[in-house]
Amino acid sequence: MPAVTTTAPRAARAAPWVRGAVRTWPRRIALAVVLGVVVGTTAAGGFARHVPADAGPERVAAGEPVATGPFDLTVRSWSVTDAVQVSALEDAGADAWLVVVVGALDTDRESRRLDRTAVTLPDELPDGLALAGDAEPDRPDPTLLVRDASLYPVLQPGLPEDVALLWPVTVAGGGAAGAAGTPDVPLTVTVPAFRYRDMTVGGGRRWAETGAVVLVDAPPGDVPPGIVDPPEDEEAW
Amino acid sequence: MNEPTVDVTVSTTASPTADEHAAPAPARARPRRADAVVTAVLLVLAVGVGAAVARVDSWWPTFTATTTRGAVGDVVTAGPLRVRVDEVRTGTVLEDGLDTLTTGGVWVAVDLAVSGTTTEAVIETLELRDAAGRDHEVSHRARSSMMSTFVDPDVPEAGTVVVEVPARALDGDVVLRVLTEHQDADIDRPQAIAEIDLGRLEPPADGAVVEVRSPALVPGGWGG
Repeated sequence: MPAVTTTAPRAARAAPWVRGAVRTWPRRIALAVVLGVVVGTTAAGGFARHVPADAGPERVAAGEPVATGPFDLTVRSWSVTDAVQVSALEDAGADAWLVVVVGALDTDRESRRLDRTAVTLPDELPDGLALAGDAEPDRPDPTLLVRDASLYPVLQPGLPEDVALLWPVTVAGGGAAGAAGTPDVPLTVTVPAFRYRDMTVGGGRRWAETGAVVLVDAPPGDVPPGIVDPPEDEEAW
Repeated sequence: MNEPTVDVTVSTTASPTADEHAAPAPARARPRRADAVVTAVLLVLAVGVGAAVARVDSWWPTFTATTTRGAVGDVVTAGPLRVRVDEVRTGTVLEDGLDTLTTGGVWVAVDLAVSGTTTEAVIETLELRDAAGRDHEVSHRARSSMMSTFVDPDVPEAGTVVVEVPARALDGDVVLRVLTEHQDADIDRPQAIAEIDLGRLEPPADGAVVEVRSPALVPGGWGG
């Protein structure tokens, strides 16, 4: 009877240390632990590129969309004007509106208003501008649809629109904001990110801020003509 | 390795003895009585829990939405409202009686008749659900004549509601959803929803104008 010989698999022959590594149970357990540590660290993002803590928030160029969660938000421009919502401007005791125009695409599954904190102004405004009254840098009020100046527009999912966010401001030297125009400097605004999550208090689910923000340098621009108040028709009275 | 061994011969080889047969009767009766008591208590407990579970819905009612479905032309009853869709029109320009409104998408004007069922009622919320499950709320820009019209029971009034949707929403079938209470009403009482299948809508021609029709009583009522 011819002798029967067995041949080890090619991989085992090529790398005998593989067989050695898994020959005994302690070695197998040690190997599993090492693999587990590597896989776990990778899954937890441990091998991601290190970002220094003092690097600050991410910056995105104006005109580039920022995925905030419920919206894709594109910061287009900023301007100062007293030709918009004139009666509300007088009520707010302000000299002018600081207007930030954003493109907004509702990426949610339902109609939504732009989040109240969709855009935040910097602490220091350029050229002697200052928020008037009780206006807050993260609470634009009112908001207008650029298309037809509708107040507090509700945006439809998948239907992009430009929205003007207004803050009442005082102008250094007072008045004449229209004549002074928009300072020729970029305005760095903050766009926060949101996540749809269960709410611990009150129950339910809603979009909540994550704390992550993106900075965008909004260039100065023109006031969208669609939101400018029409001239008063004297004859109509 | 030494493993514990069991001396099976003890039980198998031991033969009944006179001592076992002579075990005192009271000592065996006491455990039997205790078993009966435990069994009775467990039975009572099981019946009690079962009775409580059977009454959970009435003690702590869960308010869930009820949905009634229908098609164009059907009178669909949902809670306090009856709704019938008569016609659906699409356009790129809307004349709502006050303004001319443009859109980057499509205006969908739904002509419908509405009445209450037992008391005066009004549509609370209305939306179009596209084939992808996205809900498009009735337009806040346009004046929808039937959104603020209170209707009497079984005295239908007809008018228009307007929804603005992206063009892609017309790629598949759309469903009109009429909600009879506020979105959060399930905290207080159940929501009744009428879902009316509008099928696939024709995209409008460029510059097509749709108009909002003023509310008007339906001649002859629901039977007319």
